Amino acid sequence: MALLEARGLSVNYGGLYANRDIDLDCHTGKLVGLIGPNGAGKTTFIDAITGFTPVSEGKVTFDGVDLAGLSPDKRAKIGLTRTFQSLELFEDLTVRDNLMAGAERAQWHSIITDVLMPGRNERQYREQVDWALDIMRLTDRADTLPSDLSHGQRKLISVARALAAKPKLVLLDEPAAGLDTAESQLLGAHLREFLDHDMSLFLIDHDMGLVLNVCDYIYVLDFGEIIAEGTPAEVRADPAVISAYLGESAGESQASSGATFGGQQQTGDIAGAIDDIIHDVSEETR
Amino acid sequence: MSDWPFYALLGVGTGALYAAFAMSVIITYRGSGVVNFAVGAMAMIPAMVFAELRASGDLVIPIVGLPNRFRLGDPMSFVPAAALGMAVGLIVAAVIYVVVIRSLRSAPPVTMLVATVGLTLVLQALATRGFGNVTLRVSSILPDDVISLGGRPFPVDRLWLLVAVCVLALGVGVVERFTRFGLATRAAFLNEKGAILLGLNPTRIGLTNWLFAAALAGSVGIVGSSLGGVSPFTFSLFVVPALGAALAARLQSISVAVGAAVAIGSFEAIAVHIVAQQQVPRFFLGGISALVPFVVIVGALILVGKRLPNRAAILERAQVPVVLARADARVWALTLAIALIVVVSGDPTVRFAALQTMFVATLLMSIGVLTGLIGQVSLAQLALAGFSAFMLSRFDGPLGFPLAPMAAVAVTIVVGTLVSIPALRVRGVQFAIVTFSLAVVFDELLFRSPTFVGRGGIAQVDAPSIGGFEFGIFDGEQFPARVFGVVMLVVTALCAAVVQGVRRGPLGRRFLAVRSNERAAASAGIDVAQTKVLAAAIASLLAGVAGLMFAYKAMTFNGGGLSAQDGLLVLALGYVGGVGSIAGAVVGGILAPSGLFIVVILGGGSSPDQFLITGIALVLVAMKFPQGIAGSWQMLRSRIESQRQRDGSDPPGHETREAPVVMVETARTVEPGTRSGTSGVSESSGATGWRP
Repeated sequence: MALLEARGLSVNYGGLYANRDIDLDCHTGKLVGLIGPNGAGKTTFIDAITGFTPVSEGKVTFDGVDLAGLSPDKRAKIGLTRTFQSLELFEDLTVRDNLMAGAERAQWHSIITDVLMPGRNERQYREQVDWALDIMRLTDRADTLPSDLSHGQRKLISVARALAAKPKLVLLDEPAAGLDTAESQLLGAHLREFLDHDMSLFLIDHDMGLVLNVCDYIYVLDFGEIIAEGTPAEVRADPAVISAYLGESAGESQASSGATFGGQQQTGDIAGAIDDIIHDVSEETR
Repeated sequence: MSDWPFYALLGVGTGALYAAFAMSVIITYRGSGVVNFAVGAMAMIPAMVFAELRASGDLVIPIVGLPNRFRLGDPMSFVPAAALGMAVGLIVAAVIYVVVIRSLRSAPPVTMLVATVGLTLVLQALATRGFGNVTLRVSSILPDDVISLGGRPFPVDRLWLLVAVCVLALGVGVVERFTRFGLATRAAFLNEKGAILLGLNPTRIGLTNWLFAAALAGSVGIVGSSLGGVSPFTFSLFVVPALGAALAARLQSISVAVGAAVAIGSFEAIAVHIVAQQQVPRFFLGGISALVPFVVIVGALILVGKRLPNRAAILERAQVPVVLARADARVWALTLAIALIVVVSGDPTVRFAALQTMFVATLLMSIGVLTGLIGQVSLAQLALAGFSAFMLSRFDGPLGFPLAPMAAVAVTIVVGTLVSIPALRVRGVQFAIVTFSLAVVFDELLFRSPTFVGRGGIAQVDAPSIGGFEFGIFDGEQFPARVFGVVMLVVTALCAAVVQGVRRGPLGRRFLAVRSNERAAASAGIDVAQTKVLAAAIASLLAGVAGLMFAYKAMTFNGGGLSAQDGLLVLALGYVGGVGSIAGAVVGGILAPSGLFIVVILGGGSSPDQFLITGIALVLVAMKFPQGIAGSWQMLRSRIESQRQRDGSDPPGHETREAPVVMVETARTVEPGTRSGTSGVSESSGATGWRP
């Protein structure tokens, strides 16, 4: 049984389906990717899984628990955390406190101990936070406020905060958006590291290079529906995927001429070109 | 039952006044994004000027330091008096806009609200200085016939007032919908940057709307002053129903606001009638009508939903900066030592001022938890303290000393937590409005209820004593007794220790996380609702303790000094001192009326002057130093320290206590160097990280 199982998941915004009938599995120790063009419903999917938007139909189980009716914080407490595309850092807290807030799990009696013995509950989480800071190379920035860091570093904080609680599964919402190729490759390397620490990852991103390189299994979303799934190699060759990105006729001709989609960071390949277009577009929309 | 429609009709006059203020609030909000708490006080100025001209013929200008009363001859007739009143009102409004509101345009909404609370205090104090704390009555200018309605006499002037307000509302609607100016206002509201690009001037649009709103409220204030007279404080409480109606209309729809306001007026009149007929239990005789706007506000917030239409301005740092720092033992020891000296001082007035300072400081710690740490501006903490004081007087007889205060605080925590639950969905400006109307309910319903307060409307407590050792404020020889001061100091210090425990631990981190970003807090496993309730409970605990101090300090007391109006002043003191720290609460306590600063340094002073100074200080703080005096001092100190470090003149082994702030400074200066050296990940990242 998969760690995260979505069965027939639909999200309906006033008659319009942002997600429709999605079946998706995340297995323990794997890095699963979800790609799709702008507006395909990727962020909606993460919102639905983490409880930030209500699921209209379908069922989601995580680690054998039915998630229906659980608030976002309850889901985080059973080991399902996320990052945000817009980062959503705690701007009033230092980098370390951002991670501490993510790592700490309050119990009913911690109210009293928090007031009387503030240091006591912190100790057990400090190690986790130091580990997450270290793995994201943020240790020397630990006592800085997030607003004083570069965009790239702020991205890393948001990922580190989600990881600091040592969750079972982290849903990453476009962690590489706004990073350059080198940064995004480094990020990819970091992500593989986490899998060795009993964590599973679910990644959505526009950066085809990143997704195709680091993921074990990929789902492709378009207009709210899954149009393809498989290993990176399978997805890369799927005509439906190419049509979704380059248009109907391009997909057909590419498929017939046997071209594949998304090389290994070669310059001038299709994935690179698509990346550029998507980057430009998302920069403009920003 | 059958006479309810009659009383409902009787109430439409007040309702029409509320409606005018509600419209004024909406126009101001659409024009400059400010929820104007001072709308009543701003309407009061022209109404007072008008009434004074009508009564004595003197032109009184609300300023200090210059001659402000000019004899213009005999009592004036309506038209010139009204014109002069409006002129003074508009000049005051224009000055306020240019000096205060304009520079607050990009400030967080809560800061704007706090600034208008300061404006309320300033305007009230100026009016009290100029006109005296009097109620001026003028003969009705509307047709004041009395007709018979179902056998009862009914003055028709209120119907005329309603008609006038409805016509005005219609005019506002037309301007808003069909003129270029209305379109420009909406455009600038929705996207200020876009409006500037189109060649519109948001400042001028804001000023025009501001003056328009002031003229609207002022003219209705002038006309409506005949209904019940006008004093420096009357219209100020009208902001509660007016804000309630404006909230019910989502700060958007003029027609809904007018309807809601008139309904509030009608229901209030019915409530007054019910009380007069003694158709309710004796408990509610205090003033059930205060419940009407409260119910409307809470109902509006629950039904209308959690979000108000927002100005499309980017609010980077929406809150007062708070630094979670370790306590500096030296500062604590020094403060306590000085406090001890003051508390046992030989001068009884100084000792008494110290008691007042400690009471206010404890109350401000309560505000500090809610407003500083969780970001909810509460105007009800003083009311909760009052509740605790009255509960103590109820429990004192049956339970005796150690149990009665504990029970009083426990009940206060329960009540404070319960009332925070409906306010969970709201934040910022709405929370402030809910708590203000709650304070009015406490004041008018409970603190004036003969059943709640006690015999003859006066509550009493006995001097506290344990095992025969009595430590009340009067020990038979001294007043105030030194022992009492020492006990109060110990209690204040304990409260400060609790706050410090909250601030520097996981709890404070959770509070600040919720304050910073509720979505992110939820995703980090923090139960946002539970955290807010917890903060309310801790704040109620502190307010409850402050209430005990109030009661034991006074021994015999009524609702005086516990009104919603006084609650405004308390919030002002909190902000002036600094809402983000314990030091800020202490500074605020020192600056409190009858506190140490005013008694020892200024040697007393009249109460309007104290309100005036506090109000001006609050406006200044809101505009220039959102951290307050204590916060600004800490910032300054850490800046000097980091400067010294940079110069290399720092003694070795010197510790920087405000680590986060200092780090910010150093990080900024060394960033370009370290980025390429130590931080591998961001090696090639530019400011935004985008490829060229």
